[in-house]
Amino acid sequence: MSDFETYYDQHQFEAELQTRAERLVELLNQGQLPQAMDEVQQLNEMRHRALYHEVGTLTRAVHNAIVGFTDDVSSTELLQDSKQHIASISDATERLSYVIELTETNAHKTIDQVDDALRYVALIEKDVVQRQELIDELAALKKDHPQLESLYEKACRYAVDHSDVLAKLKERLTGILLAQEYQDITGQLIKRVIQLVADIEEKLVGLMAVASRVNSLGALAAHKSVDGDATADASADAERLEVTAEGPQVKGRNQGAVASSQDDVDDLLSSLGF
Amino acid sequence: MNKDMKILVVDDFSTMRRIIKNLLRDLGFTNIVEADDGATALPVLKAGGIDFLVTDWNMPKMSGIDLLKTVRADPSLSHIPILMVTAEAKRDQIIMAAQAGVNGYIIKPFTAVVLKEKIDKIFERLQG
Repeated sequence: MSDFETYYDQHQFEAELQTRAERLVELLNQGQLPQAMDEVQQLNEMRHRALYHEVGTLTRAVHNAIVGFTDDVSSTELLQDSKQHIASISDATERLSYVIELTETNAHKTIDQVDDALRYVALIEKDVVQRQELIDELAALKKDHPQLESLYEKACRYAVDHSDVLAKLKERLTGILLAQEYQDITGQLIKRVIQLVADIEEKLVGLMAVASRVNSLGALAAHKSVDGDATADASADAERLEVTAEGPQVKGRNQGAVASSQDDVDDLLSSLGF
Repeated sequence: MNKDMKILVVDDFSTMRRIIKNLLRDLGFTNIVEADDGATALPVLKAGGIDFLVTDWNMPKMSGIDLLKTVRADPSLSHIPILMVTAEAKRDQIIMAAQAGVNGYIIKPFTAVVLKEKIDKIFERLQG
């Protein structure tokens, strides 16, 4: 697989393409058809390898970004408190799940406080009811004692003021409660991103597996040609190779299945030279 | 509207269930049970006694829209009024829920006032 390095440089790739193309024209001019076909085969293989290399590099980059997400996040201020916990999580999707967990826990803490505060408000409301009873008694008394009129009016005014404040307090507390619904909405968005990240990596790893199979076909075809089977026509070649095609055998990985862990992804990429 | 009616709140986020429960309590409804998705809500509904269903749309296992359709297709449950409280705000989705027989639709984020208005409207219509 080390010969992929040859194709790493775009200029080198173009230079080789030009050389081979010129040789192909030369061979055709000389009427050397079998050798010309061999050249076409090699050109094709070259293209496969260049593409394969690109896909491999991209997959490795995505995989490393997912695993390396750790270092980027743990330095942010938001998560400083939980740094130790964050450090023990090794992968981007798990980290995002932890964000959901963290916001959920804190939203519940806030709601706990709101619940407590509302209970205190209820206690005060009970006192207000008792005070209203006092005011009613005062109202009955003032019929016989007109000098209590101003005291009665004062008591009524305070009672109204406190009811207003209590109503506003309850409104604010409900506002704090409702503000916690951000947790549901951000959680849903994060869940979708988690799915997206997992899907991208899964698809790329799948693409790598296909690309490596195509690549081994190309290599096999080249060997057959060298072995003197150059006269075999392309379709027969393809048919035979389709049957014998085998993907790379990687530890912990079932054929056709998607790599089950980040370590499996690492193993697969490493075995393919990325 | 009977304030003692039994209400089932279905949402996969415990925060949201708690918020809805608190708001309902504030409106005078105290007989509230919870479920975290359609699949866990169905047995509760089938056990009987639920008078009003408040459900999210996007949930694992069984979504709110599937729960809505299942309830409407079951003769023993089809009479239960259903209010959907969801972040799904696309026109097509609202139409789909309406066609499936939803009684009210609230888009998150929402306010206590909106919740009260929608509940009042649902029971006004049912009585009228």
